[in-house]
Amino acid sequence: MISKITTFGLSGTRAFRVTVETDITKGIPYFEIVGLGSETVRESRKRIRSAMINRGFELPAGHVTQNLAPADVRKAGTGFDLPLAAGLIKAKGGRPETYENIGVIGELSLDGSTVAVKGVLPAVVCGKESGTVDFIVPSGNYKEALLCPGVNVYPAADLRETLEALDLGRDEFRRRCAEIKRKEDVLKNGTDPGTAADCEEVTAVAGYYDFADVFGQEGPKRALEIAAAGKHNVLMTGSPGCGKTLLAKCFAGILPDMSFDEYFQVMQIYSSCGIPLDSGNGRRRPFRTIHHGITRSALIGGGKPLEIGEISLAHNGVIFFDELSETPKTVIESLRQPLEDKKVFVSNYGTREILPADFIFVGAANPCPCGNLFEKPGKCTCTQAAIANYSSRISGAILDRIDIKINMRSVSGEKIGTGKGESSANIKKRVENARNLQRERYKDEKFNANGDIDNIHYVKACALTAPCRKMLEKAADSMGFSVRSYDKTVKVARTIADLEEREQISEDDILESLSYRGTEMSAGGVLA
Amino acid sequence: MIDIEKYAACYFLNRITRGRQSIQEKILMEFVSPENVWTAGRSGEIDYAQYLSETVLEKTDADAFMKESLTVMNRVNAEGTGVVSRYDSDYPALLKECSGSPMLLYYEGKIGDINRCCSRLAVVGSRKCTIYGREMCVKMVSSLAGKDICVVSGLARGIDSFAHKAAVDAGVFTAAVLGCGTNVIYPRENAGLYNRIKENGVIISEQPPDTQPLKQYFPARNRIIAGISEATFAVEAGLSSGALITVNFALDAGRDVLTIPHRIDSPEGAGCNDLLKSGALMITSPRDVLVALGCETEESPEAEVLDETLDKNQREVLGLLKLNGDLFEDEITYETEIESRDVKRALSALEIFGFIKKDLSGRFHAV
Repeated sequence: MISKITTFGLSGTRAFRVTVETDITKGIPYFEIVGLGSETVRESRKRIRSAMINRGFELPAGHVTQNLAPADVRKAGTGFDLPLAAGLIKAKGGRPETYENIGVIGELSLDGSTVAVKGVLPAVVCGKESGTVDFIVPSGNYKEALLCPGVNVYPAADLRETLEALDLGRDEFRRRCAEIKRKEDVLKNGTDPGTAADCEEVTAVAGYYDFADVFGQEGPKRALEIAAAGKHNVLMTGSPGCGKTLLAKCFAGILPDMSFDEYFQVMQIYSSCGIPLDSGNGRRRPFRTIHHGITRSALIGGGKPLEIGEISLAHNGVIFFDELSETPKTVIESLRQPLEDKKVFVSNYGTREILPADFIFVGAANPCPCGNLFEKPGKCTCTQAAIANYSSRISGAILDRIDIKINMRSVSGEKIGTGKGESSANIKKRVENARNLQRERYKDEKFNANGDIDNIHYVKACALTAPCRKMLEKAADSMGFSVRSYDKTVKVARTIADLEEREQISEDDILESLSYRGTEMSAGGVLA
Repeated sequence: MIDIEKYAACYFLNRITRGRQSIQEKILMEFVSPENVWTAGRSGEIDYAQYLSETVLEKTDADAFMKESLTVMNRVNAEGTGVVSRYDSDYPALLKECSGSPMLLYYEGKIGDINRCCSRLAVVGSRKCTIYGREMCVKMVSSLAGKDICVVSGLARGIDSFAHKAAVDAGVFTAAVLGCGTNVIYPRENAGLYNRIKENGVIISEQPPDTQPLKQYFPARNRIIAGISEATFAVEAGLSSGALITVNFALDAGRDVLTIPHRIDSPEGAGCNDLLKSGALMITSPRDVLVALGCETEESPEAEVLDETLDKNQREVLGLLKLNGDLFEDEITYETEIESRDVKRALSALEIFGFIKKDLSGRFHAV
């Protein structure tokens, strides 16, 4: 007889609804799963068989066919174990049973207990969007599923609990769910995950580097403050060991905390990748450090089955590229589209998948092959041609999308120990203020930070006074820069004004903004 | 409106003596001023045989010369061309000291500014210049910006043109001495430059308006270039270059000769290298030029202008850069103890207004 159970498949960071249909007919004992399941789904049969026997269920004697509908969509992952097993047992009963109002997802261990799987949060979100608010998930995914507001989640420890929960009936099911949630809350000192109170706690324990511990480098610190306040991309060029990496790590600590929406988006992505919820980050923004040996698909995402790329893991956060000039050009170039569109298109078994990728790009590079170009004269041994060649590894198209470029060099001995700098907490306050101003100003737009202003809104958002415009024209003349440089200068100036809570961009803002243009190379190749 | 009679008298005296200064002086010993010669010529009270050799006398038709003098001056008057005589205060002072200085100079522009400049530098070189010659010429001349120096050259192709152009671009006063009438533009392609010089500098010629550029006028033109200037800078000269003629005039007048070293296998620079060998001043930096002209003083007039337009931070940063040469942003912040963001602002402003430049290695230096 036929049974139907609702579950969810995962494609990229999005879940889709799947119905597990089970049919047992008389015939030679036979067990088959159809519906474009991948290798992991085919292996489910072995896990289900062992799990059922070890929990005291009998395997049905007959011709068993299980279908994952819709049958024309590829399905991967181990989350189908639990619904398949439940469907099989329910079908054995002999009468048609459908449980389409409860979403079931989970992997089975051979002993019949449940195992946490990837993508539970997107599944819950997908279910809620399509009208299902009751879910049974592995105990290990319980907290994650609860992030989605307005759903009833039952954490099942094993196959037997799952079957019991399925048969509870709607009201009893919801009552039990609420009860479990209450117990859980008491354990957690009466707070929900992801609420403001929880964030405070996490912030306090987060082990970020503090700007106060960085000696000197006042210029670059200021540049990073502006970058954080306006969501501008940054390129730091400087000698090896001058503190580029350290500053980048500190940078994560001055970014404003994520709003619940942003946090929720990030959690869905992390859930899709099976990265644990409790990585100690709370509402702090993701910070992904990229090694220069990274492949294109590891950065952007892609492959079979689809892997989420680093840029999506950095969504709403920061992606930090160390040794940018050592990264293969094709890898860097692949950032063009995501830098522009804030999302990335990848192919997944022939269908186009959109992954979110709205991040602040922070790059660090040496100025020349030996790295000492900015140090004391004579230290750099590179020829002019070698320097030009080196800098041309980062194309103009990428540099164009970087608003702030800073040159750095080692802090000399005499300056080390000249007292502590300002603490990250202080800087963060200013950054948050500036971001709030922007959010208010852009409340009717698709973007909410100066770094994201598009060409259409640019004129409206960045009104300039006559002296400012004159100053810019003069600068364009004497420094010889393009329209895009002009726009970038104005956007950064807008952020500087926001940091000081001024509605009007001043000439001083323009001047400071101009200093973040970096060193322009004469021969085509331009390096910060 | 010019005093036609006065300049016609000068022209007449010059014409009758074929421009020979010694004879002019002899005549003036007796008649004191050109006007007296003119009056005496009209009434026939002057005996030309006393001053002129027989061969010259044969070809001298005093009446025709007088008519010519008036025609030329009327033409000059009608054209609006300027004219100065050796007796005028606007006549280039240094040129007056040379033997063989022209009696009259025709000009377009501000001739008086030549004397008002604190120093004058002739910049000469080949018509066919190399890239090196061109670059060095532009570099040295541009560095005179704001220094109250007059750049004198001949508006010929090559180095001359680049010298004038660099000067006009940098706002340096420049005088172009032509070998043709001041209203004749030669070479044609310099028409744009000619107009810019006319506006911002001065165009000078010994030849009356409408005189066509003839070969024989050019060496004479070179003596004026050298004569006007305290020093002559030969940027690039081959072994038989016209620039060397100018240099010889300068040496005869006891003026300094400046030049830059060239590759020893470069035919275009052989003349300059020869000059170095015989003791010309070697120029290897813009500063050398200023030192040679005696203009390297602490307080240039530019500094006063700076004080008015720049704010305190900008002045401090600029001062530091002038003193120390190439500095990185963090060094400037450390040395001046100005807040980092204010240093950034000051640097941008100074860069925009052309006081400093940022080089490839990220360092700033004063221009």
